[in-house]
Amino acid sequence: MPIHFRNNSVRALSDEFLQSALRRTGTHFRQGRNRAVEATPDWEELRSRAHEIKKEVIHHLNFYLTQLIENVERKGGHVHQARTAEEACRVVEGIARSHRVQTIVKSKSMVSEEIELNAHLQKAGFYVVETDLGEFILQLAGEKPSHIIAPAVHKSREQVAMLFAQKLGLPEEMARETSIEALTEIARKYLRGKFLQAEVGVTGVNFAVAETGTLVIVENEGNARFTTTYPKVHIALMGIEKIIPRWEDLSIFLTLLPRSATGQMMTSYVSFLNGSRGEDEEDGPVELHLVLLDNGRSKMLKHPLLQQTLYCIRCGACLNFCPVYQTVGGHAYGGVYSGPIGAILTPQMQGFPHALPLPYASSLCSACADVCPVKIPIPQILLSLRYQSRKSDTLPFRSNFPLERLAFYSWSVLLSSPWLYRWIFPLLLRFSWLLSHPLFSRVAPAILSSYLKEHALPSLPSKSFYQRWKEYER
Amino acid sequence: MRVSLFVTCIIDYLFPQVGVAVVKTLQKLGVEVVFPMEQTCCGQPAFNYGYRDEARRVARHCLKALEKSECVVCPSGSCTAMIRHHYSELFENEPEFQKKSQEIACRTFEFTEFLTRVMKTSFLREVTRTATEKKEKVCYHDSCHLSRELGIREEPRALLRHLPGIEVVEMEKADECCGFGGLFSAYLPEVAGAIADGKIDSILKCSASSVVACDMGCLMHLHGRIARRKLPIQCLHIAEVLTKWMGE
Amino acid sequence: MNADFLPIFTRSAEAVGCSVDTAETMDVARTKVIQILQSYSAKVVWMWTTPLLKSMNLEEELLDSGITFVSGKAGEIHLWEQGEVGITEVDYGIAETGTMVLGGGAGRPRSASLLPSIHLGLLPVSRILPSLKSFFHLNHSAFKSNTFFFITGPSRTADIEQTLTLGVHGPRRVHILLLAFS
Repeated sequence: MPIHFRNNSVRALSDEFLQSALRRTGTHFRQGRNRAVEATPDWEELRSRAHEIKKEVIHHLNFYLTQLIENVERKGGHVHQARTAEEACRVVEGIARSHRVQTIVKSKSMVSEEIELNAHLQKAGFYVVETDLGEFILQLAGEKPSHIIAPAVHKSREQVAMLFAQKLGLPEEMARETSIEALTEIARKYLRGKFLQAEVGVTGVNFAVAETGTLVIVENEGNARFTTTYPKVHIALMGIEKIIPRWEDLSIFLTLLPRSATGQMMTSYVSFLNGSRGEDEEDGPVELHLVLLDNGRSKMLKHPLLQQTLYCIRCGACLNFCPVYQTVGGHAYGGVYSGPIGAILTPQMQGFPHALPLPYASSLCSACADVCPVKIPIPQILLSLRYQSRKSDTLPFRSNFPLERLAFYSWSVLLSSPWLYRWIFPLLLRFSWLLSHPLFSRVAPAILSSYLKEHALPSLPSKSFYQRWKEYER
Repeated sequence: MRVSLFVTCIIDYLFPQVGVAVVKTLQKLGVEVVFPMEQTCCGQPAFNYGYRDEARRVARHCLKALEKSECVVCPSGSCTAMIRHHYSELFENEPEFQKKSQEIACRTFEFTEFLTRVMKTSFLREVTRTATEKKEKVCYHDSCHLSRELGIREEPRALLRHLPGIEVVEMEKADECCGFGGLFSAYLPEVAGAIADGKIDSILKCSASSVVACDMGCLMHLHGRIARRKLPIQCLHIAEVLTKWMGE
Repeated sequence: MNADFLPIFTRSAEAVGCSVDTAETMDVARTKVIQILQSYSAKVVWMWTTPLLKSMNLEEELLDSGITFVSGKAGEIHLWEQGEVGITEVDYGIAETGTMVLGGGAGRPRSASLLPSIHLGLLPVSRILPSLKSFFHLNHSAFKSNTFFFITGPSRTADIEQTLTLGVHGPRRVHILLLAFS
């Protein structure tokens, strides 16, 4: 079913809490990011270098993947390659089954959302607990994240309190407890129990260093550290594009990611995981599994422009600076990835016509490209996807936009013939009063009448510039 | 100096007074202005909507119309960016037109870019002749293609600051999109309107009586919202402000 | 590795919500540790058993002040959980970000900087590096082969209404004692 971006956005616009949350979050993240960038004198150089490194990875993806796999295995990790979401889910399920586990704790991972891991594991009979506070709230509410970094940005403290009271079996009066600290404390106690009880911990991966086989997890809460410390099995999920070649490259990416994402110079925790628990260590998982997910990524490698979508390090800066995202929030994008990055990623993963509206959900203002820490040319990719969506052979129904096509065709013929242009345009303008006639709104296409509801038309001049110039020349 | 005016379709048919202001400003500075009569549009609407064949048809014509010009001046950041940056991509499989587009792109200037970078000295002399009146507060809106694709941010502000009757105030988030985006505003009118509202709130907050920009697309969009909300804010192209203060 | 970066480290660490103290001699360091623990009214603490921490001979002094130790082998989390403060050595400090680098291995359980409400890190000033870049260019093979962590301030979240809250899962307070002697 196609994504109904416009309907979703109209709904989002009338959600007052969402609107105020978006304003607050957006301002907070933008100011933070700008301050952090100011405090980083070589910011632009770092962005360029990160772009080059990502380009190198994507151009040599198989080479670095092989290197990563070798090094993770050398350190005692088990590596699984999954071509599809379904395959990845089955791998995780298989590992969990082989250990006869019941409880699985999870830290935040966009890839696990992408493959809908929770639903799969729950169907298979496992008890799965999201442990990032935002994700935990969403899991209780049965919703999807609306922001890469702040998944529950659309929830108010009252809603959270109500959820906790209902879903955690807390006494009724708890629902009245709406101080954020108290709510956080409830989650802390509840989740601490789960960490210590779970047999498997599932995490995402922010960076995987091919040269050393090191998995890097960046976070603020500490839940990823809990997830990789107490359960005896750690399963790390990553998209194949998360590789970086060398150890030293980490200094660039760990500078760019937190500053772009939350404006922190560094997040509270960064875990550098080299295999499972060492022989002399007292805690940590005894078994490490790395699941490498393709899920349409290698298909994206073919196109020199589109492949740059895979440079993304999921910082969310493009969301925070996008006027459209800031107006409609993440759910309008109808998928796991939202904002400008979602608008270029989802169409490439899920195809048209499902994701047809997404490349058009942008005013092409380029604010995203300005802030992207790895310099993904998002506006160019949007334009390229729009082009592909309009090329008739990419669509199952060739006549998908017959009227639109006809309109653009006639427009182009009209505008490439000055004689026609100078004759027909004034004629069209002469009848433009029809647009403001009350009868027009009844017969006009819905989209045009909605536009006119929002915007007044300019008052039309009696003569075009062309006519005035001709008179002037005379 | 002789320049060809590429007036853009939107100014030609919807805002001819802006075209007149551009011509007057340039003539005041002693620039000879010619208007290539064959010109129509740069083709951006089709390009941005994904109809590249159609965009190419119009772009080829545009190149033909501007071919003989020594220097092209265009009072729109968006159309200038189309010619300067996107024609090359559009004609990637047509080397002949690609070469032509690159030649024309290198002698095409956005209006304020031309004034500040090419005509710099004579312009300042011209403006200081005007007498001071009660200062009018204006704020400047950075249109996205002008600021991000052409890198022109300070130039228009500097021009405005030279005008004796104008006080330039900065609105918050001056460089954020107004929500126009060409057909975007027709595709998602509610979102475009909401984005414009944010912009208009910034304008109201800085208590400017006019918002000035270098692109009629943005100004038309903002004006449409401002008129619907019945607010006392004028939307002016920078050329209109300049001619006013340069005197008759 | 240079003490010149000390003021930058202190500023960065304080900016992310750490408390920073300095001790100029071993004796002062012992006294400071007790003072810090008392300031948190800690009764039960838990400590790494690294050569540096052992050489400080903290046990006796702590016991004299009425503070007890928990010890426990791997898996005895119920014992570890009793610790109100986890005391660890810090392998490197990164001045640019106020980061503590904590390596793993024998006598260095990961839990010590994670389970207790308060984490006290002891960092010899000679181990302060200027930047992330200088850390990743150390070519320190131990870090490339063992699990280790960056800790920059307390555990934090802003997931409810973008309001910063400390101690969502890990320590609520992070205290750094700089050891300005060799």
